[in-house]
Amino acid sequence: MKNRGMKVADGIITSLIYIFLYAPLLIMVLFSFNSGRSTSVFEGFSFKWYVEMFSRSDIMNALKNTLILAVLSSAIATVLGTVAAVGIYNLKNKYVQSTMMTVTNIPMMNPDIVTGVSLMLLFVFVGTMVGSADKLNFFTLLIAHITFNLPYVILNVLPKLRQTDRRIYEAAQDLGAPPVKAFFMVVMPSIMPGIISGLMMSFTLSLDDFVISYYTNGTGFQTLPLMIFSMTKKTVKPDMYALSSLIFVTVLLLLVLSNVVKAKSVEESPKKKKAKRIGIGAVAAAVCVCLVVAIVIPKNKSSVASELQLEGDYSGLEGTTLNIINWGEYISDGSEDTLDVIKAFEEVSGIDVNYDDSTASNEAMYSKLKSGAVSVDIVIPSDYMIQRMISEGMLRKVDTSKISNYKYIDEQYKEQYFDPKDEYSVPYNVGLVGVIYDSTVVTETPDSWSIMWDEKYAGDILNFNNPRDSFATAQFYLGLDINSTDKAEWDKAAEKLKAQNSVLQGRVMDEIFNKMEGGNAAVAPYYAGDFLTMQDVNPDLEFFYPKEGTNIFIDSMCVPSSAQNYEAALMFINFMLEPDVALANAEYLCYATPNTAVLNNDEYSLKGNKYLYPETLPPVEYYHDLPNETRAYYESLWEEIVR
Amino acid sequence: MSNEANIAEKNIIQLKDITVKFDDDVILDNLSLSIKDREFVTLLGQSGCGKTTTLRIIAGFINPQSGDVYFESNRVNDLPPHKRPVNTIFQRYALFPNYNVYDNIAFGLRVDKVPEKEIKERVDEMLRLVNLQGFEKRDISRLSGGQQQRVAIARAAIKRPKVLLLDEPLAALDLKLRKDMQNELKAMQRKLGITFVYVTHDQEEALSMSDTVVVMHEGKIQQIGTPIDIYNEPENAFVADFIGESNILDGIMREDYRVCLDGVDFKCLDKGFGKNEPVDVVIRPEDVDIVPVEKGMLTGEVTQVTFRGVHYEIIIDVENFKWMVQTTDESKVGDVVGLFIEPDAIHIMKKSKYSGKFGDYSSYSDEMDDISNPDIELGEDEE
Repeated sequence: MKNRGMKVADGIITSLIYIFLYAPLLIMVLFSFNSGRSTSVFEGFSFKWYVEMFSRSDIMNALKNTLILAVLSSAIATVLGTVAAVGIYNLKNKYVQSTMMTVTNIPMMNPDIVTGVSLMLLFVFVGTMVGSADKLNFFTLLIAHITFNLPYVILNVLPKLRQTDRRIYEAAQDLGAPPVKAFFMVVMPSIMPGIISGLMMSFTLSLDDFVISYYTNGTGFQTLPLMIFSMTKKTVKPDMYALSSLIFVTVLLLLVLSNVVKAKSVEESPKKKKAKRIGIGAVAAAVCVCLVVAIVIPKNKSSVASELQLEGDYSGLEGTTLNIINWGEYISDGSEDTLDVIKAFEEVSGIDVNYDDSTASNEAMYSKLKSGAVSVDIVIPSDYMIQRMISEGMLRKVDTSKISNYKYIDEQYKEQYFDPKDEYSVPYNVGLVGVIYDSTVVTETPDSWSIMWDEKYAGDILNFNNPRDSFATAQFYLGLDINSTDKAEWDKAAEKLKAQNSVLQGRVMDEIFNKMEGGNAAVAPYYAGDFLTMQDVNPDLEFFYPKEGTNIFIDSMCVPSSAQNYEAALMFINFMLEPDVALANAEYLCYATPNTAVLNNDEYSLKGNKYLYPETLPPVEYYHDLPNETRAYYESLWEEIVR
Repeated sequence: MSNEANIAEKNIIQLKDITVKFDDDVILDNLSLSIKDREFVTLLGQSGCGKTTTLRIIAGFINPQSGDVYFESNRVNDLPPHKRPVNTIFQRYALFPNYNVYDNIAFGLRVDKVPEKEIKERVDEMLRLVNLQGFEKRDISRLSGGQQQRVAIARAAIKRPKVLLLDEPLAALDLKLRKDMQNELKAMQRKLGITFVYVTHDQEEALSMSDTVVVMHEGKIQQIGTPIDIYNEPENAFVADFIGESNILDGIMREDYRVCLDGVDFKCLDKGFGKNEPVDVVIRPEDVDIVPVEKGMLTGEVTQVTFRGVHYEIIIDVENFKWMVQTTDESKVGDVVGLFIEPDAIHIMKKSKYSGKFGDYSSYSDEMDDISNPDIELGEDEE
């Protein structure tokens, strides 16, 4: 009886383990076939997200890049690693041999983040020494991938070498084969299973590496993992599930294949060689298919710029390169029949654009520029960051006389505090913070920040998970200056935030989309543009601007002082201000646009939208760049609040 | 047995003053050796004596620190292995595991870019020679030890080398198969009409197959000669002990044809030693007759009797020297018997550094050498 009980328990535990391992993947695959965009309700079977994925040139471009990188890095690492393994194997001194093995194994144990950061430091250091403009580029990424792949190849090949009779190498020479030929004719076939599994392992490792790539790639060479990361920052769309499902299936196939090859090579059967040939053939075929897909797919879309009516002149800089850093999903990208702005610009100007949207925050962008690791021609920082960058000499003046479409910029967004003479920045996007609420829970019509402290909604309230935005809610509510340098005022706001802890469900950033769309929270402060996205999914959501006042931000296009292609940067800014282009971006982003050509365009679906363009605005306030001392102070308060 | 008539006069391989050191170990000490065309030469010695090293020098896998290697009077020291006109049959065969029987045998010709049609003919010829017709497609891992051995021979012989080097080719086979293969190898050498340089630690193998046996010890050649010479006329105590069973006694050469053992003078057939020169005396166990005490030249007591099938092996204590005698007549432990030795059974050797190291059978452990010979399992990595 006891035995039987044990067996049942055993079965339950085993199934639980497998459920936890594979249920998430199954759910992801399932939802990649969802005909709706909900992440919780399956509305019907459809391939639409796969079609959507394949028609997006940025995804396909990232796929191409990922495959190029994976094929190149795994192939090079396999060759180098095999040579290294043979070298290590032939070392006469056993002590040196084991030391070599340890040294090659260390990068494998090393945390990816350490490897990534140290490689970045090395590349920047060497790049600075040789005076390279792009210190991080495709080749640094390639070198990084080869580096982390190498130990895996060596680890796969060495045991095979040890299993191989040394004398067959001599026998081949004895029969007339020169040493190199002897190696290829008799030693290679014996260690081939090791080489192949090393190759496949490094291919999959390269395919899904995020951390090391994040630190070592330059602008523009976007790989899939980097792209997925930048895309998941806001709402996760099912085309991401489709993409992730495809990657999962690919890696799964490769793993199965490599195990089959391994198993067949151990098995001493007459079919051994045949199986091995099949395995090798399959791998070769898979690689070929990958390459063909990578090369063919990105070209399948016809001209995207042909329908645009352009006012500016975009000739004269053909063949040059433009490097852009932007936030994820912060430009119309061709998804769901929108305009692919980057591609259109490339078509009309003949300029090659390296577009990097893997940067997560103003601060990350700032330190990336500050490190000098990349050379960038266009960045889109927010107001307070523009102020800081101007004061540190990191921005170059923008010659608006060369930007014919500058005339479309709405006067109310000019001459702001961070750039009083409009010398350094051209407004791209405007956002206002308001409060989103679920009208099924909140039956009154709120108009004050006080709702975020309301006991009635205890457990349903969300706040920002960063100090500045979170403090601002309390500061506006209390009538304090959000840019105050008075510690006492910050103390008051902190008290207020602490008082909020008892009613708060949590502090979130991008998770707010899923929480509010799914009805899991009822009150949350966020941007009006994002509210519109959420309301699309959950029509019960409502929005208001608190009467006490709220935070406004402007993200503007700027040119860093390290820019290599200033003229192209101006051309790009001009292009972004084109009425057709600005319209596409405004439709895509759902934020308020500073472009009058869009604001007055009847085709603009959000024209006069009561949330984005309210008739009466409460008092609004920008964030200013605060002194370090104040920043340190409120951050220490913040730690107490969230503890 | 011998094919002396076929052996040419000219040397095919010559080693001159070869010295090989590994770190501070002297592996070969100023070794010189000439091998004649179509000769079956066996390098015989215990593990570590330098025999495999000598073979690898001929094959080109080891470069001696000093000395020259000649092949048909051309110096080949700087010729890499793949350019030397010799082929090797390796210990444990070193067959290519990723090729089948046919491809293994065809390897050498493929490397030389021989047309496939000719390859086919010659592989078939080789398969007939080694009796493996029908095994072409067989995987190496599915062959028995004896079959693998034959593939190794075919693979090396197909290139029609003038010299075939064989490194303990039979060591991994069981006893019965080994005897069969000995005969087969010898027959094959005659059929191919080429030189065999054969390395073994097994003296019986060496005696039964070779035209010439080279006995090696401590990196030096102890004796070169026909098997019969080596057996009957060992040059020193080491050779006498290593080849077959021997009673080795201290003696004094009274004069030509007369030697004194244990205070008794014996007639013998040897001459040319100084008067009263101390010598080593070898008497093979099968050459000693057990006779009644009164007819014996020496008297001793039987201490051990072992039945060996064809004969008895009897240990007899004569004044604390343990003699071994092989005879078909039975004796009992404790019997006091006489020993009778014919003059032609006595072989006189000059004293050497090996004198006194070998001799009587008080510690009877020679047989252990065969059982626990490290060559068989570990290979002889002298390089």
